[in-house]
Amino acid sequence: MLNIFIVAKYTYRELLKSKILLNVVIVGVFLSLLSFVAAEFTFGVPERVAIDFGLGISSVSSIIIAIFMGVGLMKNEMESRTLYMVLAKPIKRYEFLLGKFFGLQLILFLNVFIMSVLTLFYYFFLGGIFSKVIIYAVFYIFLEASLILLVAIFFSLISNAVLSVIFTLSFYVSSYAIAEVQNMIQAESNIILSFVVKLLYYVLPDLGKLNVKQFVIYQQDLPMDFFIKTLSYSFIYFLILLIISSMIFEKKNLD
Amino acid sequence: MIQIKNISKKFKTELIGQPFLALNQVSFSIPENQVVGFLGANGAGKTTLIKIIMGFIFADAGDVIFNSRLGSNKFEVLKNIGYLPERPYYYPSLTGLEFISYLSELSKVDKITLNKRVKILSEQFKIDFALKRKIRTYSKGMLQRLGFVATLIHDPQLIIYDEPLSGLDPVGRKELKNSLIELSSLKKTIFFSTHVISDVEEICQYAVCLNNGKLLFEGTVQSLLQKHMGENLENIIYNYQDKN
Repeated sequence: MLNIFIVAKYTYRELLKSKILLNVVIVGVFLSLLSFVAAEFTFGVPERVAIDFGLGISSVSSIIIAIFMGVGLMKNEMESRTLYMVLAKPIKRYEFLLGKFFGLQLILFLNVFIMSVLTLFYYFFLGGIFSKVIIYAVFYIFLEASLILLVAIFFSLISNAVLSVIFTLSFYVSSYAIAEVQNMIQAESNIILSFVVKLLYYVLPDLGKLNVKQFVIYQQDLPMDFFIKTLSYSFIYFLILLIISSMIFEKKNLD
Repeated sequence: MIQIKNISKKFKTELIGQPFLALNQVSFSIPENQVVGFLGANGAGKTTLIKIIMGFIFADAGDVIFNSRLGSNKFEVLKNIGYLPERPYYYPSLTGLEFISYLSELSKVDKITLNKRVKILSEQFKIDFALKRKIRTYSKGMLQRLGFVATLIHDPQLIIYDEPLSGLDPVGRKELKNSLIELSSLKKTIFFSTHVISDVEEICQYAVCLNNGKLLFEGTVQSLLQKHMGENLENIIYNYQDKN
């Protein structure tokens, strides 16, 4: 447990000192400008448009960080062989993997936090009213990005960097679309297609469930059972992906 | 200190075709408290074998047996090993000191010991002036020196270096050789790979030589030189390789 913390600490420190924070600030400024422009062109509810834009960009930027940095996280360690010096210490491979994951997850948290603060600042400036659903929405953005980060790490362990990015992006898009496709396919008579869609429906996470921005925009309360169900679902998915990734990394020849 | 028993390793270089045999039933031992030179031409299999010893890659056959003095399990053993890879690459945004702290925290070195050893070792390897600078600003030689400090920070019993002299200027080479001799006097076991035969002749008591993935010979440098009176180590190994 201590080793995971040590690796996470130095991974976070390394990433924090790289150019990533600068990118976050640039996107943050861009977000403020975009929210401002969008709100100016809106009649009646500029604060809702501002928060919709703000949360949307926060989500997209977190997903971009999760995919690109997630793929590079282990890939760079293996290709540049930095991990040799670390794995020569009394540390288990899964501890190293988890430490790297948590280190980057902290960066994701920082990104979501900065974006959310900027969004909320503008939202309140335009007269928006605080609702705890906003906090839930921010939390779900972080949860979704963390899940995609883990998927990116998983793919980076079994394929090259370019393919890992393509696979993770496909995974992300498919995870949003699969529930809709599953609904539509019920009228389809092609057995093989139905089977494939059904299989994907059970294998891919339903990321649509983690998107609660509509609750914020329409100022609805988030039912507690929805929160518990999605949280448990995400936790199980996390656990399965972590176990599979750790098993792959444990058996991997690091040449 | 370590026994290598019948290690074989194949690599698949192409999707279709025969795998490449990097190590073929290699067996030898690394004696305790000695400086052991691990010789071989480029591509002989030295780095592959070191990676197998460290557990980075897995042998297709054979065993690596560590002396019980190093520890009873892999993690105890790793606590007592200092390893420096060939062409070490570090985290460019960390400072040298942060990198050393990272590795020493994993080796469970306490803060007081860490500070003491950082001071001694960084001065010994002449990298103390740059410890607070980001690693990306280091030259090749400085990276190598940082690697030596990081390798020795937890005071390991066994030190494994892969081509440690390759990135150093003549002064750095001399300093490292002196440090290896000093470590040897402190009853440390040192196992280092090189293809520079004169380095082995100069500082090693024991030598192991690989050629095309096979063991060419192992034994004390002294006995090898006595057996081939009048010849230097370079000629002896060249003749061995020629015969094989």
